Amino acid sequence: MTLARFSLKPGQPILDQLLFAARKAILSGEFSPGQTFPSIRALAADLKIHPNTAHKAIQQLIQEGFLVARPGLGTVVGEPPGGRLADRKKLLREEAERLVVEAMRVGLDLREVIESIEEHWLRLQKPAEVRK
Amino acid sequence: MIWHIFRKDLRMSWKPALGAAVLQWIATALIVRLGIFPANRTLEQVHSLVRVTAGLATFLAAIVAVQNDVLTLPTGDWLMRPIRHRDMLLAKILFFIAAVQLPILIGCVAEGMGFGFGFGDSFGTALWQAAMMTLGMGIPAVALGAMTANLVEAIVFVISVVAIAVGQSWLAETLDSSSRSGLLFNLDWIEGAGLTGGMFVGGTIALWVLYRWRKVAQARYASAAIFIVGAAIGLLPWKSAFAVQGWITPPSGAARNIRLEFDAAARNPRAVAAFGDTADVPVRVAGLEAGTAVRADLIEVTLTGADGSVEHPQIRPSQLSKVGRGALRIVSGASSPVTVKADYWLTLVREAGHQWVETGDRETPVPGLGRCRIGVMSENWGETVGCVSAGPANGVCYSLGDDRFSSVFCQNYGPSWLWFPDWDELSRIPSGAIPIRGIPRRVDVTTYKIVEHFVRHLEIPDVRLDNWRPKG
Amino acid sequence: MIRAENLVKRFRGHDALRGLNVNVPEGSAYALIGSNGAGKTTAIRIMMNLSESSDGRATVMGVDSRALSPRELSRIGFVAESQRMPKALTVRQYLDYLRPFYGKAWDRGLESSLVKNMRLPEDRRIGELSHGMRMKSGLVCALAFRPRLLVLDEPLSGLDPLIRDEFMQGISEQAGETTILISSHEMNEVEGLISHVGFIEDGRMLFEEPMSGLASRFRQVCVTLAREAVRPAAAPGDWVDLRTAGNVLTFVDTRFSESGLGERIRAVFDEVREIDTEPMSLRSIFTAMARHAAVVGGES
Repeated sequence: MTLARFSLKPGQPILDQLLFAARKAILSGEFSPGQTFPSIRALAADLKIHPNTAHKAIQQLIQEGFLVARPGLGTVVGEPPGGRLADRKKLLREEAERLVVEAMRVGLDLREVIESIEEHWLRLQKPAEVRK
Repeated sequence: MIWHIFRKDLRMSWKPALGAAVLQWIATALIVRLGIFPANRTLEQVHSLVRVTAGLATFLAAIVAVQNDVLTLPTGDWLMRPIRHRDMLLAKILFFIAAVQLPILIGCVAEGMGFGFGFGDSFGTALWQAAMMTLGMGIPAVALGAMTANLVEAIVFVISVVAIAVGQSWLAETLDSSSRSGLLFNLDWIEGAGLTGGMFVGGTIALWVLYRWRKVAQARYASAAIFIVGAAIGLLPWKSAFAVQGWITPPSGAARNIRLEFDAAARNPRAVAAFGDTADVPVRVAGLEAGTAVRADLIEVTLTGADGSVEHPQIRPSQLSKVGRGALRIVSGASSPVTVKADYWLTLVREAGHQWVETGDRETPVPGLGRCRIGVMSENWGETVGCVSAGPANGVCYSLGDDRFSSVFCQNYGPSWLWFPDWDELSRIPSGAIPIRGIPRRVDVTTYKIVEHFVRHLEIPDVRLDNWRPKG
Repeated sequence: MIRAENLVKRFRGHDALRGLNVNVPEGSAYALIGSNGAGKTTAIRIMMNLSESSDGRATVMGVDSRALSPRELSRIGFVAESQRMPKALTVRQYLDYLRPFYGKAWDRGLESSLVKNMRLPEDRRIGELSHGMRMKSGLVCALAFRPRLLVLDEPLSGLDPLIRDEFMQGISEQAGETTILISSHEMNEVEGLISHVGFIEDGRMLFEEPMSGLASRFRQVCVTLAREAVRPAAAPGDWVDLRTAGNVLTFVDTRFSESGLGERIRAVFDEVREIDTEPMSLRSIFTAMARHAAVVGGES
């Protein structure tokens, strides 16, 4: 087993799905810093994807700082990145805007959106509770 | 890699190969038990059955091994493996030679030695037989296995081709029946050569087309066509075959002086009661050198009447004696004078040796004929001399007794080395042997070598057939 | 890696291939999809020189398919449902038999681990294996020598979900640098692996493109109108599989662009309440296109 809560959704780019799932897994504590991350072959076999896709994802995650390449040991989980300034700006401007536009499109109001954000935040922060 | 593939096939198909070998060994044991003069009819029939079954099993064992790697369908796993087609073909042929033919060879050697021949002779015969079998049956079997996907397809293919060949043979009998009514048909080697050659050439070409280009339809048509052409050599008119034989035996000129004449001085030479409608017109051979004799292979007679009418009468079998006396036994009702025209197809032989053969159970070696014994062939023939030879008894003739009026018997013409083994590997005489007169304690067997094959014409004018018919 | 030009295959009763063009790029994982009888197996057999084409040619690894020699075959792994392996040999015996033909390319360590992972009963005869075991054996025999090209013809058909899983696991793990050509109906299973798709219909290639392109241009669109939805007379030809139910019209957009869709919809309909788009799985792309082709074929 590699990524516990991940299953491939058809129709969406696999690389994106994999990156999202890996980031989420690392951020929510499924992997502790210093632990070995699953190898390319293990990911490919477990998720039934092409090793090249797994390879690209791992390279990206190394670039973002989620994973660290240790020669001889494979890839190891790093400290969750503090995040660069550019990333933060991107999140606050574009991603947030996207969320608001979508919310408006489907007819949600501000209160509902904030509630939802809080819920997700709290959930991913808490390591040991049983999550639904 | 050839050996590697062979080992795999051996692992997969050793059972059919062993089964065929065991059947052949049983047949061999039976035939040695039966001996030259099979006394036990039932056992003889059992032997025939076993031998035929063994032959079929041998054929099928070859096919089964080939079909471990099917060529004709796109579903064989081996087609996607890095296996050279040439290696695969050679491995299948190796299987036939090593797993199928080799046990038969061993059986043949045992058979020869069982009949009293030495190891050298037995092995030589067995080797030749194995070679002929590989060429005439092994290669065709491998080809047949390669151009079909399973045993059922193979059997269907064989039945259709054999049906055509049998139909052809029937056609030959119908067309050329006049020739076949001659005295003897001793030229089986030509037919054997055609058949074996056809099978071998057809099989080889088919294998080439199959393993080189995997063209299945072409291979099937080509091999069937070649086989039918080869078998068609059996359609050759007997006289043409005789001419071929004469061409192969170079004329030595010894027959130069030989003529056929009307034997005016003779009384009716046959002391046997004749048929009422048969006229025995005496003839004799002139110009025979001492130590030579002539035998007639085919006689054809026409009668021309004074008014120009032509009759093609039937003639009863009669052979020329060692001293050149014989008769034209003409079946005709003609009473007015006719001109008798006869064509003789003849073989000149020269004495090669004498050998006494005792009665009893002991076998005597006779040079050229093999190991001989006196025994009873069948109720009709009474006692006769029977021999078994390791290898062919081609081109050897013999006569029994010192009676001047006995005639010469020839088993088979053909090159002495060229021989197409039948189900039984050893050549056995008699098949149409000469009966022995009286109940002797020993028989003088004279062997002859063939000198020449030739044709002579005889014309006897103004013959009253009534004069030569039995009185009363 | 594989290129086929204008393949034609005529059988006695019908034409299986009517001018098929295929291009399998090196290093890709190429899925050949199509309805039953579209010509997938025929095409693969011609490309692998198992059958002869009536016209057209194919090249594999730069070599004409009709000239495939042991040199190329030692680098091609082939698994097909119709493949016949010797029934009388055990799995172990067959592996021992095949190994020497591949020489150094055969990896014994890989062979052992594959046998173990696939749970193959080594001492059972191939003829006594279940269908799933037989397919897994075929896969092991095709992967152990680390082929450059792996060709799979309907490998998952008739396999239970566990074995299907094991099979895809085995392939995915070893994919690496290998070029993969797989024809399959089990699109959900292979979608994770695939980089290119070729859709065969009626003996011809309907479309052939990278999976990413396919994923980006196909959308399932759902339009909610203010009143009863009616099939528009002048719908763009790119819209396929149009259906209506109440106020809702759904269709498959085969040339989707985020920016243009809204305009195109409003050009055809007025009083549009809502537009929902959803990415489509390979399986749903296939069914939509197959249905469309059937309709078009029926009309013509």
